[in-house]
Amino acid sequence: MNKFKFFATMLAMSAIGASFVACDDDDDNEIPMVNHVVKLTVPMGLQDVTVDDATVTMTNNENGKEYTSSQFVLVNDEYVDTVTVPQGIYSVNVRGKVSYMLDGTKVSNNVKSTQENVPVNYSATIESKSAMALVTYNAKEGFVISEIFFTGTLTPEGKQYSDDQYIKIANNSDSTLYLDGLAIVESEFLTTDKQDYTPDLMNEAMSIDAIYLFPGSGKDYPLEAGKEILVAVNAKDHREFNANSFDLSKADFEFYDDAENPDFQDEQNPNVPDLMNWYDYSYSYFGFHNRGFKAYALAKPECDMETFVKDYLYTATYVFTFGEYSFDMDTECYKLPNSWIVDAVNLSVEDSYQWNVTASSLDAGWAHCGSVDHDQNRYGKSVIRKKDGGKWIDTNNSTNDFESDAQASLFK
Amino acid sequence: MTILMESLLRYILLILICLPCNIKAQHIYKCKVVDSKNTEPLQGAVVQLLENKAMGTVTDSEGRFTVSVPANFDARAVITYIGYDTLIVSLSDNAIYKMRFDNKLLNDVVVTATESKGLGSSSKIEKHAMEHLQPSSFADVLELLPGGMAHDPALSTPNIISLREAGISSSQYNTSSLGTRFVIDGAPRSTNANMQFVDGAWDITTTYRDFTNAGVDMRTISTDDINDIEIVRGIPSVEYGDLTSGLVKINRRRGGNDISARFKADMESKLFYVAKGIEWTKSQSSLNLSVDYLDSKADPRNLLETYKRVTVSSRYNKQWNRNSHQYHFGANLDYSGSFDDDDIDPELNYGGVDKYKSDYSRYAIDLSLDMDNKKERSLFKSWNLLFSTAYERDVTERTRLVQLDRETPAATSKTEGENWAMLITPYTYTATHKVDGKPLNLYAKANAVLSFPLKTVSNKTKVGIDWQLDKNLGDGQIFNPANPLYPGISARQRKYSDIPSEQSLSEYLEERLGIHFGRHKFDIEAGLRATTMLHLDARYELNGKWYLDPRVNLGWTFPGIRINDHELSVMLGGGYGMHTKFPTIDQLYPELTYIDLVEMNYWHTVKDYRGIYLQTYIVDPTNFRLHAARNKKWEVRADVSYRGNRLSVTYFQEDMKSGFRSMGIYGDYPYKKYDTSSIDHNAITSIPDPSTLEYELIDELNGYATTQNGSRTLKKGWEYTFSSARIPVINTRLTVTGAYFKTQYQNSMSVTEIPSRMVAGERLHYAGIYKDDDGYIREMWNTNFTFDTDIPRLKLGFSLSAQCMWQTASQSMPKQNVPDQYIDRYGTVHDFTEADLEDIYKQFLVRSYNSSLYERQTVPFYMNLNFKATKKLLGDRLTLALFVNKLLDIHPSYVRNDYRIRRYVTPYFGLEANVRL
Repeated sequence: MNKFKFFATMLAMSAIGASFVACDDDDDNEIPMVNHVVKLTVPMGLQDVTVDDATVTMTNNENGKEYTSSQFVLVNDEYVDTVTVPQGIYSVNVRGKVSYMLDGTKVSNNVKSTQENVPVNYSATIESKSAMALVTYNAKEGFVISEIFFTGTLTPEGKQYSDDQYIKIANNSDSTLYLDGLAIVESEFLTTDKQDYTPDLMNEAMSIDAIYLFPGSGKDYPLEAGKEILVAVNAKDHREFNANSFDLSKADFEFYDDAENPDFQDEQNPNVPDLMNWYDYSYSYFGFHNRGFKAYALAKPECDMETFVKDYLYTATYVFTFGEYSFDMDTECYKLPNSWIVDAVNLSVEDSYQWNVTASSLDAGWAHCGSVDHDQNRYGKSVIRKKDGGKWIDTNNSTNDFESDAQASLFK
Repeated sequence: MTILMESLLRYILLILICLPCNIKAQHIYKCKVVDSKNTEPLQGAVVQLLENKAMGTVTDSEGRFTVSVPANFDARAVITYIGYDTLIVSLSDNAIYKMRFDNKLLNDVVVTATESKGLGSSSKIEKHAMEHLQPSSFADVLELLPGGMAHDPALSTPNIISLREAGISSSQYNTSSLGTRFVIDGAPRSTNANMQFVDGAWDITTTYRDFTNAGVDMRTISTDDINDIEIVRGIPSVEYGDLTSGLVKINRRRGGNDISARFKADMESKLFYVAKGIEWTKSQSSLNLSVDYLDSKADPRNLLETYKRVTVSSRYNKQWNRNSHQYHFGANLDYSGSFDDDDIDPELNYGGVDKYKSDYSRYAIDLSLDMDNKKERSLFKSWNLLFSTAYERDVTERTRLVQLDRETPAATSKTEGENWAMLITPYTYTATHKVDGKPLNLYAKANAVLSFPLKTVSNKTKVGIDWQLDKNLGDGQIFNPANPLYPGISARQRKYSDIPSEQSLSEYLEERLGIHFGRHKFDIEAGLRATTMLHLDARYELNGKWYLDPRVNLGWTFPGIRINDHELSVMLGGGYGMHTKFPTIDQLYPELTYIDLVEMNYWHTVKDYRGIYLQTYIVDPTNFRLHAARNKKWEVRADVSYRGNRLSVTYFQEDMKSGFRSMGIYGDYPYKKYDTSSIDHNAITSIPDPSTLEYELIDELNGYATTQNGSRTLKKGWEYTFSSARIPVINTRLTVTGAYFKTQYQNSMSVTEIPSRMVAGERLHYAGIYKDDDGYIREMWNTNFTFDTDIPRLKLGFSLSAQCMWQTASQSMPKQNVPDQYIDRYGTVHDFTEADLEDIYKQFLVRSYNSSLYERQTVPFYMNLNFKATKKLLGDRLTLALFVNKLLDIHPSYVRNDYRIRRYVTPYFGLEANVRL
């Protein structure tokens, strides 16, 4: 996300520079009306993009008056609209939706573009215009994964116990955000098993094997700025089963998978709301990969469940080699457009790491617990996002952003 | 073959010479010629009068001959038989002449398997070959078969047999090994009552040692008492039944007056063997006693995973000679114990208990009474009675520390309907699951051999009846349902002794004819075996059903062709046969399946308020439509001999479409889903009562497994054996054995499966029906070149065996991705249509098998060079032997899909000492 912020700041800076030049001759009482042309260019790197609906809002800096229009038409690869406004300094804001093709699937996404302090002056010869580059953005921007406790614990008898896994999600913005509709996803691919998957969608989408969403209809689950919530795999006091574990009965949310099969019974804490399952590759209960070979991400799906389950299926083909045999294998999973993703964290271990399973723009590094596969020292450890001042560090590089091998925060 | 050929030719010649003779005043002698060692009749021995060698005869298939001696002639005869010392005898009526095998003449210590000289394809393995091989268990002997190769012993898991197949490891294709009959001294080893599977087990420690419904564990058969083995790969005589794929006949040593001992050590095991033979010549009786102990470790550094075998055997034999009859009585008393132990090191296991143990103790008594008629002109040649009984005490025991991470229901309810589940407590406990099996097998057989005294046609008629009973008297699966080793187990305990016995009755008739057409000889062995199950519930389709197994083997021997003063003889043969194997007790009488469905799983921070409410269904998974597995075989053979060199080649095809397979049956099992969301969770004082709650009645697909005739195994291939004569000077013989096998394994019935997915918070409510599910084609082509050298002067024998695997190949057969039909949650079957592809749930019924899975993949050539040597010392009293497998090897690396695949092997060696006093 940072790249976009930087880009926006640069734009704003240049606009400010321009406005100083334009300010002088504003003493005429007759304020002429200007037909200001707004031209949109579609986000880069997306295929077959169409702008489905876009609204431009021009806000006068002096009186705060707003002028809007949503009559964009396609002219020579650019979407063009004209807003008639009194001459003045404006901030130009475009909000809209685009749709594009991702491996045969039509994906929809939010786009925006903003220019501050745009001088709009009447001129008979020079057209007043704003050329605006649209960028995709996510309604959930500002959420980050602040901790993943995927290793589980050891019982006093030394057996693995992984029901006490949890993930923490924080609001890293300056305003209250709503969890409603935010998704937690798990990657299909392993960071320890690099394959040449075809088609290769890595730069456009993340392949996932499970997606769970926060409930709510929009504003049911607010999270204040700077606060974090805990989502437990199983929200109960785990000390009842394992003296070496901790109490998760006060978790804010839990993963819950309903089943009639006695072998796959999940427990439902009635006082803790459940995440909603859209899809999981296996008919049993959800848990994190306890050796940390997967990536996890937060996303805001821009479609409903039915559409997602039906249209976003992704068959990745790779060459499977095992001993003396080797053949093409298909793996069936889901593609989650990168533009929906708010935050992503790759996990791996040093002796087995092969690649990142998300686009490097989402996460350029990886965090870990333990340094070898099956590391017996990993239990009880978490990956925890570092903080700088009041903010969580988010440079889209988990190697830098996370403290690996950290003691799980619930132990502190 | 040469021996048979030459004697046959002599026979024909003699007939031509003798027939015109018109002899008056004469004396008729009826006698018999047998092998001095095993008293087997020698067919085709030439008997000539010393005075006039033109007068004589040839022995028949029973070793008998009748010779007329003119009154004025000396009643002395010369008996010759290739490979035996020539005998000069004074004829006396009803005499039995024993011929001694001549080592010098043949100089033929056979250390490989030889292709049998009978009509069907079978391999004979004699004592010498076994001594040279230095086996630890019967599994090692299979190296000698066409298609066999030396393998490192794998004594920590059961070894099941595979004949004429390239092989696949899937329990769905075990009917081949289940249907290979082992017969030891005439008594079969039935495994029909073996039920030593651990119910609900999912851990590999337990499951990979499960060989239920897979036939005989060859580790348990010690080789030291064995005199000779015949492995019928082709079509066995109808005398043998309850088999589909092959017959292994083992004859153990009888008689001998000596003490012998063997000590063997190799990289993973030690073997001790002591035997004593006592022979009382006067009373014509003998007693053989032996003890065998094998101790093996999966890894010499790991003392906790072991396999031990103890065999104790006593065999008594007695003969009575009467004027016209000879009786033989045999009584065998055997014990064999087979013990697997696998303990996980407590230090690695934080002090927790984790162990596996599997003990098999088999006690067997075989009694046999045989009568041979010495009268040559009699129709009735011989009869045999056999009764054998075996009782086993099998205990499999698994102990582990169990730690639960959530409230888990215990499988305790034994009635259908709604019930509160007992929740397992405590959450940490040590549990033991024991399987107690006591298989009992009774077997009785009566067999008679008749021969019609026809002049031009040699004939033998075999007629017989056998009966077999299998029953398990054990206590079955024993575990504490409140604290089970495998939580989530749906099985309830039942006693194996409550399961009915399995009985079968068979009758058979076989005719063997040998007809001469000029210098051609035509042999036919044709028989019919009728077999049925007894005392079976009328609901079974098997009840009262008779299976008819026709089996025919033919042989056509051409007249010898003389090339360079030596005779080339050629025989062409072929056979066709049906083979039937009845299901095992476990397959006929599976335990009831309990389908428990959770209607409410109420969780509360207060433990006392938690509860799991179940709907239990009881399903009887008995498949009353289960049939016997039937294998149809045919083969053609050619056998050529020249100057002591022999080549035999067989092409075979076997198709078994009705192999046993465990298959899922799905149906609608409705349950109520109670809604606990309206409860004030913080105010309750007890578990919510489901009867006060609202519920939704949900139809759901669930299933159980049952045995069906759903596996097909199609075997095709070539088998070849070439053995050269021993080359003089270097005293070396070359044996080339090999085979090309192409085996196809596939489901022969549609397979139903529910994809394991969670969509929109729910599991999938559909099951797809796929016609083509699993299909595997496996190929292998190998050849072993064995050079064995025997230097009698140094009492040294050694062999080098270059075992070449030319190629193995594997290919999967196309799997159906889009189902033909599907079952919905109400149990209704629908056709799968185009529109279903768009359904968010039904789209998952389309499986994603990539077509490249179906490409044929080959693994190229490799070769192992194995060395074996034996040296006799101290006047043959001590024999030292050693073997090194993979002494040298060639395993070229190869490239597949841009990956270079490198292959490595490590040598395996062992040595042994044999003492004979």
